[in-house]
Amino acid sequence: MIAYIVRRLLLFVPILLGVATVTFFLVYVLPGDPVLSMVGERYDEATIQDLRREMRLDDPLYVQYAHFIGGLARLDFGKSYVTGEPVAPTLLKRLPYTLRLAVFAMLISVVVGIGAGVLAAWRWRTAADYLTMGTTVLGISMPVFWLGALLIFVFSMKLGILPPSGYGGGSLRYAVLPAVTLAQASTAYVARMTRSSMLDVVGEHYIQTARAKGVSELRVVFGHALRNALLPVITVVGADFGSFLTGAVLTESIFAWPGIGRFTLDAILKRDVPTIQGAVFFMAVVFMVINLLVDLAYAWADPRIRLQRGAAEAGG
Amino acid sequence: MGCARTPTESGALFVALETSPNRLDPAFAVDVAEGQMCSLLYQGLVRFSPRGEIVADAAKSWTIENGGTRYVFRMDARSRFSDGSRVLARDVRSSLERVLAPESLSPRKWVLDRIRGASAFSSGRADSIEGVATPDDSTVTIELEKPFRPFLQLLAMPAAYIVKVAALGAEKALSRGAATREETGEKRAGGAEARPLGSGRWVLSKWERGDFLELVPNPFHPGGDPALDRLVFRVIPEAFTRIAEFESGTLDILRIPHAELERFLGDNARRRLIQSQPELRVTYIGLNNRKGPLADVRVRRALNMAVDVERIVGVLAGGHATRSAGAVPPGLPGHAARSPYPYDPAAARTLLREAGYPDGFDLEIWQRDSPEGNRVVEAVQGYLLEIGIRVRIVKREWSAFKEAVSRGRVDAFFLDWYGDYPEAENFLYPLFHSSNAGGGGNRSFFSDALVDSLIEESQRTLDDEACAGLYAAIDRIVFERAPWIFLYFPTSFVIVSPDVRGYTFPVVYLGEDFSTVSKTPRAEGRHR
Repeated sequence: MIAYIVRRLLLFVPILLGVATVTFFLVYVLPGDPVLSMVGERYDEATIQDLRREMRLDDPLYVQYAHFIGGLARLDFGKSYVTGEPVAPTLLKRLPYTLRLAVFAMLISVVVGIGAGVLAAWRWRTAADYLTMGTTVLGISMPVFWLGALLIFVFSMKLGILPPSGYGGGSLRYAVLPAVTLAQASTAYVARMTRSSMLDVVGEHYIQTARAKGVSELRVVFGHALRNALLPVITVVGADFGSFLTGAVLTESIFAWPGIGRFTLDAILKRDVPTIQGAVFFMAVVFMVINLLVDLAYAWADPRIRLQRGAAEAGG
Repeated sequence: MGCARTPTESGALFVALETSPNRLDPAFAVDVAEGQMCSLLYQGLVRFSPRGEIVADAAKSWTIENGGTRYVFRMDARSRFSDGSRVLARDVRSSLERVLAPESLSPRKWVLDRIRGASAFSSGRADSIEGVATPDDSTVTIELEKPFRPFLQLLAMPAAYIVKVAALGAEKALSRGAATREETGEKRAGGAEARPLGSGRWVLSKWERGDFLELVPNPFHPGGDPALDRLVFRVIPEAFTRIAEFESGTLDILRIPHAELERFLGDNARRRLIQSQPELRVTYIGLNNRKGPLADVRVRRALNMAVDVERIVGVLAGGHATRSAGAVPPGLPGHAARSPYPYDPAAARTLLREAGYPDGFDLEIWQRDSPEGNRVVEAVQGYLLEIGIRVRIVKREWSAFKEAVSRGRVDAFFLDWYGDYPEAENFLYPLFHSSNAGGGGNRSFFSDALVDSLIEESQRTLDDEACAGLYAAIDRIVFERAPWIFLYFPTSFVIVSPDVRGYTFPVVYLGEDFSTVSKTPRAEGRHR
């Protein structure tokens, strides 16, 4: 297991190098000049030239690339063109906001999604099943900005029980609406995935064996069926968590939540190259770590996978 | 009904910002949010009143001598930085030097380039700015190369604000990185970068980037304590969310988005809470005066006559705008109520024929993706098709748009110009003087020797009436040369919570210092 993790971590290096390289060149292909974003509506050419020189934008591309990769090796993305502050600490300062929202959204997605999926599978072809699945269709197809606006309208403007937006210094009440909005599609998807996966598993021999042995229905559902049905669900949850951590731009904008998604979008709109590169690099790391965790979770959910991996590792 | 957030301790005013300021250093303030914050945290020698007039700030009085080339400022001895130290004449000098220094990367050097010796100092050919002298602690004299009528207005802009350079440490120079590394002497605000110390009415007490900024009164400000204990600027990018915050009672001042205007104005209870202000802004479709058919003035006039601007203003701007027949907004000396180009497609076709384009031509109009732009440009596209001009609309986000437009790569573009100060010069010079072609503001690449010389003359003319006459003459020539499709001057609306007293919607965004604003929450916080 340890050897497996170490090998996966070593693989991060070439992947990250690839991501960094692609990002570097993509940003330079984008139309728009980073210097123009810094100078306002009225500027003179001399200022533009000074800034270009300071930001090393006049260097040949390969020199800029070498400089960028050199910084990367020290995890130094340089300073934001726009704020003049170092990128990495600024990015990390935004992380707690995003993490908080992502964790709440994930909890909603897992608890409500899996709960609803189990209920629908357990009460297959009953009103409960149809109602749950009908709701999930709504959940998957409802645009984020629309749901966000609807929730604000109902819970803030009409009922006045939750604040419309902002971080509120970390107060839980402020996280409710954005977390529900962010979790919506994922919850619906997890519910559907859990249901169909459960239905597959329920037909398996070992479930019937368990029932035959007189195991209680509750234990059959949660102890046997669910655990085995979770495998595909874990994949979905992992991928969703990754996107919660990196791309909640719409939710963050609607709810004025100062997270990484908005931070990155602002950087892209201002052509703040060092910040874009730092943010994309961070996102790549998040996804790789989550993928690794998902793979490890597989091994927990299905011991056969661990055995196969063990064999593969032994074989070299 | 209960409220989401206890709306409002009395003394705290909640205001929304549409974008997060990037840095709170007046040398780098380029957008509205940054400028507004700097106007609260720093003093200039002079500043704008809410009505846009020049009033005393760190200088208590001034005289203009030598035919407008010499300004003598007497410092207000009571002005204090937020660390309690006095604002001295030499602080003014070092602040100006900081912006103009060769190693400074301030994008706002142009604000100070009228000062004698500014360019020599800026290019490293001189050790100090020749035109700036501080004979004693309370006197600053500034000499100009030649008279410049709106010089006091320039001094009221953030780039001329006073910072305590001495507190920036040994490295006096300002490079983009240096400013963030320096110790400021001011207590570091939560999450905030180090930034220069100011002597403004307010002091930054908290800054959570992308979330909010909190300002408290500068205890040393000579104006005494404002009625408010705190100013909280919340960053809320979405218009819908800002409305929800206002309606929930958690925002005290709301700029009303265009789409919501009728709803707000239609509500009698609210109408009395609404203030309107003609903006210092002109909205236009710039025509690249150097490119293809648009180089011909007959074609540009034809375009103006082909578009029913009256209707666009009535329907799309809801009538809350003034149709423009020139670039000088109403209310400024030099604005003339001349009749705009008539809507006359037949005459437009005739003009096109005369210019050699009987079958019209293809035209690209660039725009940023904005609700206003979408509405207007699509309407223009329809009108131009009627005279045979086939418009292709190109939408780009701001950075790409600005690059292409400023470099003269596009045929035409939908854009607006916000004045930095309420003076016709701030429209005519950047937008139409040939030396500002491209990034200087003249993105239609308009060039006319007479206009250039009249603009220069107006800048030297100190007599108000004579100058207004010059402005009107320039504006008329520009109108006749039709470098744009002239559209309109927008009007803005804000709604202010009934709890708030003393707020005036300022003419210039730098003009509100919240010193006379007070707030007494009612038992029920919601504004509905």
